[in-house]
Amino acid sequence: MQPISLDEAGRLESLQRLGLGGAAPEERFDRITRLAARNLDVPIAVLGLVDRETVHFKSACGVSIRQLPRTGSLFDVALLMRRALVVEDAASSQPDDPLIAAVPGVRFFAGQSLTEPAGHRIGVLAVMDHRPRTLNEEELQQLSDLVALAERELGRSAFDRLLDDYRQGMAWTRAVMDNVAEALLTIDQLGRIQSINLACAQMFVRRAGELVGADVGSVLAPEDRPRLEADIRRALSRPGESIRVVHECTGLKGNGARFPIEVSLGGSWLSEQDTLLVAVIRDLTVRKEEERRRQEQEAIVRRQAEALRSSELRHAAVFSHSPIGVALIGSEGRILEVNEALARFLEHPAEWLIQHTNLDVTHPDDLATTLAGYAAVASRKTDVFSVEKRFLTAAAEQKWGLLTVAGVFRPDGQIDYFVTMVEDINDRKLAEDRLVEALAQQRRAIEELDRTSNAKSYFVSLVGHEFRTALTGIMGFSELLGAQQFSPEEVREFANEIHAEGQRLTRMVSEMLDLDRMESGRMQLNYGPTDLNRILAEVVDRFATSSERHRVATELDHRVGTIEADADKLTQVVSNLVSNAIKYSPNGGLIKTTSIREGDTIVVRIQDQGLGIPSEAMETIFERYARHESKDREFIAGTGLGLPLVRQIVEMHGGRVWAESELGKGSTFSFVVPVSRPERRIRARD
Amino acid sequence: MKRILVADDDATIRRLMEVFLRTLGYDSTIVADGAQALEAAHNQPPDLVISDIHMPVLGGLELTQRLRADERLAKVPILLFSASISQSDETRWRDVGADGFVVKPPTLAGLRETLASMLGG
Repeated sequence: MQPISLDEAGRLESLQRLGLGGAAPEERFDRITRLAARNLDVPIAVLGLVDRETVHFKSACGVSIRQLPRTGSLFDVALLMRRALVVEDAASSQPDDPLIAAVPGVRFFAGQSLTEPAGHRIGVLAVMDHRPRTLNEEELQQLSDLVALAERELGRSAFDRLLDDYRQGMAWTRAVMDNVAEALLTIDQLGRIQSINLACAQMFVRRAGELVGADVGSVLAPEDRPRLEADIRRALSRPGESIRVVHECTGLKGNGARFPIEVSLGGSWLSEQDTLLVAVIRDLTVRKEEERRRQEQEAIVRRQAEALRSSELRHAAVFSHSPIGVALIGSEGRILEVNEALARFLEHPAEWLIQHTNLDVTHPDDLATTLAGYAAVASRKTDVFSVEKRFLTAAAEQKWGLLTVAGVFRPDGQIDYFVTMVEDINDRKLAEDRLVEALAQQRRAIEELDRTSNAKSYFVSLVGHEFRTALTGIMGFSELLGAQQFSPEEVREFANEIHAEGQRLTRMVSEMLDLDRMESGRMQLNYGPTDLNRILAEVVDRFATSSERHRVATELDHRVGTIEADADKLTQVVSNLVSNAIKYSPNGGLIKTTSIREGDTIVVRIQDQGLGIPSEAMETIFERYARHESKDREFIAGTGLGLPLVRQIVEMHGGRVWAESELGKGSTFSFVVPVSRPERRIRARD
Repeated sequence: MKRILVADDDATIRRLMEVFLRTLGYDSTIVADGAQALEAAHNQPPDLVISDIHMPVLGGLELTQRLRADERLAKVPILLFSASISQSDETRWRDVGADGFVVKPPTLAGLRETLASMLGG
């Protein structure tokens, strides 16, 4: 065998990117192995994906093992070849092959490598037999046709991945665009606004329709336009460079009001001709206002310190009557004097304050900043220091204030005392916190909306399909009855068909309405003495006569007795669970229903031997619109409302419902309800 | 009498199509999925195939491709129908080489006309 090198790293990366690593069987591949076994008349066909050390059987028919060691296996050899590898009698020519060890009695092996769209060989489609044989030209062609089919499926996986990435990228972009406080605009080659986000329309108080297509200069005051236009021209004249320009200027609102803004212009090079310009505009109104206030306060403090320095008069009129809190702080931090306003702000009497230090009224998290600020003033690193910090009130509650500190120095240059002012900014800070929280909440709401709207459109197509199928029967048979004479037997049969399909529709509609009523809290439970064992026995009995393929068994605990519950609603729960058990075990089997009393609760279990539930679906089966779909079960009729309804009813009773399952072995649905009505009314959800 | 092969996984619709076709004066073979349809077509090539798109084992689109790939059956007219409202069904039936597409529910009158024109009057 010629050693041929594969791009192993690239191969493994492709394999991972395709996301086929999961062992979950997929009908689209199972179909190919079934076809291979049938068309080539062999008992075993395997689609193996080869990773670093292991051959994973993505799909296999005729063998029960799901993987093989890669080293030394015929799969590894076949992977190296583009054409099919045919070993007519493997047991005699390759006795040490791990395949022979894992699948005793295999003699014949033919496998051809699978190439994914990027050109990497990632797996092998193989057929095997218990007797030595050959493949003729036609059979070799069939194998290679099936390989082409499998490769097309791999291509679909790759495409799905790309599409997912793209969708995620779009969703992310949209979420960011709509949730940032800054205005975002994209600008075209001619300097016109191409698109804007929500914040942009709000900031400039204009409708999106007015802004899009308009010259970007129109959002600025006339005197600032030439500079922005020059920046845009410069950005566009240098394709390929990434550009970033920031400056402060004046914005113009739709109502003519002017306000301070900061514009950042960024360019991103897309292609030779195409440069994407993005402007990020921040509203500086609040920041400018804060700066102005801070400067004002600093000026006052500076003047006071000046006045105090020049005269021995500590009690300037401004001090005691100022609406803003003022204090003199000793060089060691002791509070020497406070005015009324500060005492009010800190909710301490002045007498208490002058026996304490500035740190006693500082929130623990802001101690370091406070100390550093006073130290900077004392050492004359700065003449005035300002910080927004949290103070502690008498009630030990935190309160936001803007602290400004200046120093009064002795002739030798050492600090004598500090003059400080404190402005109450608590309300503003709390409003800011609330704004941040509101934004976060809005973001969560948007995410939730996205999720349910996807689920909803899936649900709509599912229900649409069910409705049309039922309508086909109703309309078709009723049309027939009017079109021609039929025998009385047939007329009766058609009428029955119409009735049954009508019931199917009614059931779907009432399930949807029930669920809506419960989720919106408009449905009340009708509590009464309820014989749960009798409900179980009756429901099971009813279904036992409806299916010939299923056997039923009940194991009811006589201690269950009479409980306090809504008998009709619990009947609905049990019916839904038993009918699901039957529906999802199309090959029949035993449906076992058990009740057990455990203390003050009753546990009911309904166990089947059906298809089981894939582990990735377990978390969502009780959610509305989340009916788990996979190829082998999409033909099971239903709207997916049954289990959400079950959960609603059980939880309204103060109980819980859950499922355990093993794929291919069956599922067990259990619910627990209390024997008496819960004291507190428990909300249906959450 | 022309013979029509019908594949649908819903029992009610199978029964409905049987009566529809009898009423319209056709012979019919009715099966529950694409694989059964393929087998039936091999055993006795029909004059026309009506198939649901969404079926277990082998769906209508794949069935069409398989019939088209078979020399003996490639010329048989194929009418697909579906209760699905997905956009893709409405374009894919052409791609796989079917001759017609009907959204359920089909009507007796509509079916009479469609079949007559597909079977060349």
